[in-house]
Amino acid sequence: MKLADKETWVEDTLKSLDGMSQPQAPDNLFENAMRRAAFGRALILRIPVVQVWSAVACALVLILANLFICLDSALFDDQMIGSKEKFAKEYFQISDTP
Amino acid sequence: MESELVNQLRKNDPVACRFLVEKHGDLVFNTALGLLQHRSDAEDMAQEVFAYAFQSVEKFRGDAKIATWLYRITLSKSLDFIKAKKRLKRFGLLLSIFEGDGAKLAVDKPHFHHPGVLMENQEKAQILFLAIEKLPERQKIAFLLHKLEDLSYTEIADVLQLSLSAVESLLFRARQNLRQYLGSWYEQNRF
Repeated sequence: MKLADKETWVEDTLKSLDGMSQPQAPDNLFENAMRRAAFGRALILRIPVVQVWSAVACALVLILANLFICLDSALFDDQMIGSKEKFAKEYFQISDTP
Repeated sequence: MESELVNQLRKNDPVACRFLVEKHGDLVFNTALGLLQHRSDAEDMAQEVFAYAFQSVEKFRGDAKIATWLYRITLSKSLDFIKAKKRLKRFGLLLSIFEGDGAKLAVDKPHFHHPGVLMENQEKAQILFLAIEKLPERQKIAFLLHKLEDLSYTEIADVLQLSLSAVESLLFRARQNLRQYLGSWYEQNRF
């Protein structure tokens, strides 16, 4: 009996949307949508393709220049350490190696 | 007729825009309402859908009907909104761990009363909407389009870009899952 009650209730619940009416959209939908569309258009920046590619090229040059400077300074540091050792060896006969 | 309307929309003709909203406003609002289960969210979504439609009418190729195109935009935007809301809910739960229950209450959804449901069915429809929310995404969409929008299987197949048999299978599984959810709800709450 309880199982039958449950089945009936489930089927009734599944049918609870039958015969429903479509709710109407709000009256000011058109005005609000137009306002939103105009605001969206104002936010879109129209940038020429040439300018975009120039910006990309500039960014690439900057990145490469930075990389080059970093690598070059690391090489310079190595050279500096080498020259200090050379100087110490030549004038004070000091060497790191025993 | 539809191609003429699309041409006018492409020219940003306000009369054509108004006609589009007047003709399909209910369709968009009702679909959003079924998915979002929140009146003010659905109103906001309807505005968003039409604003997007006005802006992107250039992309409309005319392969499908305007109504189908609007259904697709509504579904896509509503699903994005639901995902964003779920993220917010998760964030709310995280906040509630640190700040107590106040933050959790702020993102909890109240029970949904669909304004189109018959008065005598309101209570059961409310439970059905809770069950619909638990359905997988595609089953939920197919079921809502069939029940709320009264779309035929062929029309649902057009909107979801699926075969007819795929839609039949989705609706069959949706009903099966709903029976299961409702059954367990009945056992937990009626005894």
